[in-house]
Amino acid sequence: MFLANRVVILAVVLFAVVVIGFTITRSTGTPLYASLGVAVSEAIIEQRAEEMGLNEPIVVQFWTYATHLLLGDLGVSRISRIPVAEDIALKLPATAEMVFFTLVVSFIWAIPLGVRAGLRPNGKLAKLGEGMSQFGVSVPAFWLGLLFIFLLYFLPPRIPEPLGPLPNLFPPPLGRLGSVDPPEMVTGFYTVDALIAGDFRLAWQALWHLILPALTLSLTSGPPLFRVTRSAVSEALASPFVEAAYSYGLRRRQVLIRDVLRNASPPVLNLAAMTFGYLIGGGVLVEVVFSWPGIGSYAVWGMDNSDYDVVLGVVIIAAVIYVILYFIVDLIQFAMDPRLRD
Amino acid sequence: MATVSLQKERGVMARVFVGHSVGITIRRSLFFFMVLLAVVAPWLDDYSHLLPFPIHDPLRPDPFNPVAPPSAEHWFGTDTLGLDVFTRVLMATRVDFTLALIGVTLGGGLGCLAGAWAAYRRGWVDLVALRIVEVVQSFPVLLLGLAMFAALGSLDIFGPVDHGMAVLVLSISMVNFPLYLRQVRSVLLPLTEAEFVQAAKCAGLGAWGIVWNHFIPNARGQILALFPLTCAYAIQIIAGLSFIGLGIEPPNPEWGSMIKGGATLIVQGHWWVSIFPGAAIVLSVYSLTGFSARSETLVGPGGTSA
Amino acid sequence: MKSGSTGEALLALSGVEVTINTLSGPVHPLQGVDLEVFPGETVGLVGESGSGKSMTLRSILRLMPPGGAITGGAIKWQDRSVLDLDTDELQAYRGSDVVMIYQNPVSALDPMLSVERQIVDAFKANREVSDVVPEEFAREALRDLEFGNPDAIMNRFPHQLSGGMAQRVNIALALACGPSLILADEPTTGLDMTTQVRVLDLLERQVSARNAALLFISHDLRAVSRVARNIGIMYAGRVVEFGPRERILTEPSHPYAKALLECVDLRADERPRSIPGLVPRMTEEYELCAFRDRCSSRMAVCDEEPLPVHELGGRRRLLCHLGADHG
Repeated sequence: MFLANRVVILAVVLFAVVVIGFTITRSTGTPLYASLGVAVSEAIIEQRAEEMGLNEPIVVQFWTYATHLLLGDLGVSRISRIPVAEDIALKLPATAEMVFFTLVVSFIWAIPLGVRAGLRPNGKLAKLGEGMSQFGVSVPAFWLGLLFIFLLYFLPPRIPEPLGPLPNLFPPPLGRLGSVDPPEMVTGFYTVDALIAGDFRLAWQALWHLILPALTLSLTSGPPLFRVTRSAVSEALASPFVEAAYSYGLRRRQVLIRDVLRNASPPVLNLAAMTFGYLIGGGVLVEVVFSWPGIGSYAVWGMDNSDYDVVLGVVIIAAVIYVILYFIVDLIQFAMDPRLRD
Repeated sequence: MATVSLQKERGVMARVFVGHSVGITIRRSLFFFMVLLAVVAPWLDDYSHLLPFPIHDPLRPDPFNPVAPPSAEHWFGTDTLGLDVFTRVLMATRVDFTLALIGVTLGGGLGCLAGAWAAYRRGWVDLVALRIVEVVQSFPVLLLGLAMFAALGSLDIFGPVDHGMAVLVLSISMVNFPLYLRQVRSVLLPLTEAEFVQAAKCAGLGAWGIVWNHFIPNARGQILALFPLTCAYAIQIIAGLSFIGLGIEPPNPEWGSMIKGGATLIVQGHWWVSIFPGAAIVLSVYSLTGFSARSETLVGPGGTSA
Repeated sequence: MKSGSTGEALLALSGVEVTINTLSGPVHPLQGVDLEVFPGETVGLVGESGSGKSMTLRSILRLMPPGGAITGGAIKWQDRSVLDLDTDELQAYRGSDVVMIYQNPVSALDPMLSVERQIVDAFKANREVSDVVPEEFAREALRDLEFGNPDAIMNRFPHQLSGGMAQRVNIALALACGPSLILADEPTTGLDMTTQVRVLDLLERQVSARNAALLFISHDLRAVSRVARNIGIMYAGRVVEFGPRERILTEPSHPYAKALLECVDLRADERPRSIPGLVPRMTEEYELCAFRDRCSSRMAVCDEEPLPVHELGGRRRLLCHLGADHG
């Protein structure tokens, strides 16, 4: 029942996303002038409009648009003449890898600090976590990225003697590998592909390039994870079954893992997955700052060139990924929480 | 409850400043200081001889002095055109604050009404409202803005209003609409069966009358708590969109586009062009969130001793 | 009689005080609790809500709420001081010596774990597993609690149990620890009438079959008198009168106990009665008698001298200026 409801919601949202995408495409003013230039005759425009099906009734147009979309046709970039879907398929792994490592970084700081803050709300680590989240929500991600580039890439080699000059701590903000050739594409994750190719140096290089973007995104997207973890843990800790578990003589460690963390984990995993889905499209600015060749940079490139099929392609893909992840989160929830299974 | 009524007896300003931790008071004062700057910004240049800091024309470049580091004459240095960063950071406060305020008020106001309406009617109205919220919220915020600019990019529908600013405001409204709808709806849903609502219905008060007279006042606390947060969020979105060249066109002073202007200079060590406007964003967001930050409880749920 | 004062007390509380620091200042829910439980006996504690009953049980297990601490008095388990146990000793003491059954049976069970897992874990935490298979043990434990089909129950999760079933599972869990004393915090309050009687009977039988002691608290004097041989009356963080059930039920000495009895002992034609006045606020520490504002036998000495403790023999104890046999 719960799942059936979720499937319906998924379908409704997907449908709405398509409708909005369609409306926006149709309303982008004069797609014909845009794609043909201004200096063309009426006849050519008319012919092109016929070709593109713009003279069909709106319902037919929508049908064509929706079916094409479902078949993965997001249009063609009018600058590069490459189908948008192909470009996105090429760039999505870059974004996904960055977002994945962002979550890895968040799992290193936000969740442990959140657990700790839930267990000891007045402790030093709780204050540290709260301070970091305050900072993280106040700081624009793109600016934080620039700050890191200045402080961690530019500044260290210029430290005067006796400490300096140091070698660059981090690579220049020029994408996934700088000028090095990427590994052979298998998963699209350079770190993983390099390991598959057996090239540990390259894998390290890829990871090295990932650190600053991931750190930037993690600091700005991690605060909700910290807060949800903290409140989930403290709520679980205050529940009667935890006191009961202590009264049965269970060890503190066992109670924390068996009862507190288990009961606190569904909302945290839920939010982690949502964060992943959100950052696929939400890391646009950080991609731009680090010249990261992901779908965010692609969308901005499209915007700069008034290439609206590119922009809309990215928007739709990001929304669809988000909605599908939302659905997967529900599935995980369903598998984890016995209460939902009935 | 006693403290609440006590606070009500004091004036509004007293409530804003008194009875909070030092940190909160500082943050709030900072906010009012920034608002003051935003208000007086246009006149600063005329009275610059009276001011303790050097003010320049934010739009007049100094071609002989580009990318100059911070100095007594240019506190925050100058950018690639030789424009004074300090003055421009001050002036941008006005733009960013105003656009955020308009956008949040517009989208939030509509969201409140829609949320109240959904809670009042329930049934399919409520269902549709929730679906709309879900759909809008499944787009990452910045991509939503991007899509708005893509969709409205070449349409001339705003007349004399600056196109970029208008789309920015619409984007902010779009983002805030579902936030307020959801919040207001969740507060009011339990009230729809409440006795005073039934009584109002019996008294022949129309639907909008009930929403206006009973629902909105009940949700006021929640709305007021959400407002500064969403304004802070809106400032970040405006800056973010301007950072990728959408919204406010240079050389008009705006924090995001100023950061963009200095982004490529950072790797050469010319940090001041980007860092100062960004710091202004951080300060304004931090000061704004001081209005809804609840002080941490003294005795948290520390759990049972073991 | 098991309840004679011969032999050594299993558990002895003397002058136990608890303070909780809250945002609005300190609260003193226990202000000097004296109580003994002997091996195998059933003791009942009765009092209004806020009188400190639950806190007394929690102090025995040293399970304090956030900001709470035992600030005075002594708790002895046999010849050991509970307040001096270190973490490991405390963990060993909880469960295998003393265990608690909670008021809200469903929320006292971890919602994410099966019944089997919870019983097995409690069993393993307290007993050396040698020849007994824990799963087998859990099945037996449930059968003891009159579950006809233990295997079906083992695989269930707490939300799939009714209140009565959940409380029987809680009892099975508590007994699985093999304790010598079971604390029961209003174990039947949330259940309907018929289930209450059944669960109470089961608890009593299972406890006495294992020769364990039971400390049972309730605001309901009738429920307590069904199971307990000795009854204590709590008021404002103290046990103001303690004695054998017959004595407490027929001729109590403390004015509060009398008033309480009158409230319970209703005739059909009488309207329900209540004790006039307000329950004392536990933000204060009471040197003098906390009941004197509501007391019908108030004397001058009540406003002047601290509350005396009268040991009356036969385990009777009274905290009142009226003294022993005033009728």
